[in-house]
Amino acid sequence: MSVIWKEHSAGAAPEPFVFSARSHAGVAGMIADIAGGLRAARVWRAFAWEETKRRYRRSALGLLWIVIGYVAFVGAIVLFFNNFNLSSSDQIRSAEHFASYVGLGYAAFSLISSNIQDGAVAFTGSAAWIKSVSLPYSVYAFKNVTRTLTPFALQVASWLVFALAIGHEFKPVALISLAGVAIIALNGVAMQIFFGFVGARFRDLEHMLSTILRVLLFMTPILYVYDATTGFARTLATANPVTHFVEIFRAPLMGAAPTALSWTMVAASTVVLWGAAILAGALLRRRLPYLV
Amino acid sequence: MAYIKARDIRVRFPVLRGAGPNSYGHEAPRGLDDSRLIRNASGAITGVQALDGVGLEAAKGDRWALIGRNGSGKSTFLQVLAGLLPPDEGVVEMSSPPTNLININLGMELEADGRRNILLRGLAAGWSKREILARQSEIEDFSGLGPFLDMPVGTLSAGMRMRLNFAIATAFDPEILLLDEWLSAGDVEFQKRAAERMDRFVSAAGIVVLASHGRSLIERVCNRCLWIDAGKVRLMGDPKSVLNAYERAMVAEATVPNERTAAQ
Repeated sequence: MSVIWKEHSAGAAPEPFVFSARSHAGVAGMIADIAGGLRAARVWRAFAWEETKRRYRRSALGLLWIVIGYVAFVGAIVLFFNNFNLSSSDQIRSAEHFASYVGLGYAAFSLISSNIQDGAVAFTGSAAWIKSVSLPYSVYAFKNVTRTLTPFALQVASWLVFALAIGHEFKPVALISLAGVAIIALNGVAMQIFFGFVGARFRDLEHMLSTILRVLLFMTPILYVYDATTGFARTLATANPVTHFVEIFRAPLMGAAPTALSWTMVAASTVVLWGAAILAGALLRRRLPYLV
Repeated sequence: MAYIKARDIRVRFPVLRGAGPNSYGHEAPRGLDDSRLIRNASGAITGVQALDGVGLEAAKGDRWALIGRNGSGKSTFLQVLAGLLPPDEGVVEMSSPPTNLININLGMELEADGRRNILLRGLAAGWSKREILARQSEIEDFSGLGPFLDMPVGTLSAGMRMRLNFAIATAFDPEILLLDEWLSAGDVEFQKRAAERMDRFVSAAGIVVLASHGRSLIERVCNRCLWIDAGKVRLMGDPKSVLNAYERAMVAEATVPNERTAAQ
């Protein structure tokens, strides 16, 4: 077997370690890598937290910057796209609704986009560890996904404070959004693995992805309401899988179950992304130490 | 029972030149022996044969020294043994996953302090937080870093980082230990303590593989010696005779490049 990371158990004899080209290549090698990565959960949890701390180390406000940035962005969008019109109670209610729509949508979109953007450097960014410690490579994908969940959790917590303050109505269907986050995270792992391998081999990927993400920001209904769009804009938003990943998190918290179309798009994307991740790993995993 | 069986290890470093055509083209890079280059059908360089059939077998208590010129493949071989570089051909079998101290600058979070790095390294090696904490004070003592353990590791000197790395790696009584040359970066006092720890380790029937240029270190620690030359095994045997042959050959070969230049 190719899984190198082993948990030491007191008293038990250590398991033999076999390492060859065969143990590292192919679909079976990649699946063993992912299984080994899952078992090393305490490693990537510690590393994810370390990286989060590193980003805000020696900053006075630290993680509070995530909240400040989020509130400023959502506040600005609501103000500008609502035409500063808050004179009647209907308009205030509509603005509150729009704020939740933008707030939840932006949080979900940021989670997805940071997994895409970080994915391109998932392995090259961990080159120092890849070249010195024999851990399953999927550890670095799990680590990155875990790290992106911290800002997301803080943003959602900020929204919850807002929702409680305005007396937002939570329906039981809201619980579906928990599954939505889990599905987004699951696909985050696949994206980190796929983009990580491809990005290690083809260094243009990182720049290509940031270009695509800029377009995706407008193709995804977070700055505007999906139901209010028509024509080509609506077709684009519907064809964009990110729309549906956002939707399975946002719609339940806004009081509606996600549509069958959203579930179908999410299911299809999950299959495609995981297939691509395992295929990329099967082809490139053995060469990764040379590529990073 | 500790063992290493590494047979017929072959490693080719791919030569990648972005997405476009290979810009090395057909010209060998200066100073590289052309016989180690791998070319495609049209003669363009696609790789370098870093290791060509290298292997060793070690039983409990064996301490192997790897010697050879710079670029001969010693570190590459260590990286293969450590499970870091998958070989193109050949198999490495070991009684348990090895502990490696191959690159002093890698495998550390440079912005985190020494204590935090002890935890991260321990977790990455498969230990639980509780087991790491149980050895924390021993590691801190052995590193001899004192108050510097609270400083970001990136601010420490190379020697200090090496002390910390060595202290972490050996604290968990590894069965198989792989070391690269940089052990000699420590000061005299630390080298003495490191050597004592190596003795303790060897008497516990562990296996050491040590890449080194230091004759005194090899003679003190090792009982077997492998001379790697241009990616191939040149000689294996007891350290004294292999070292003697190596040094004789180096003295003889040192004159060859001058003759070549003169001939051109």
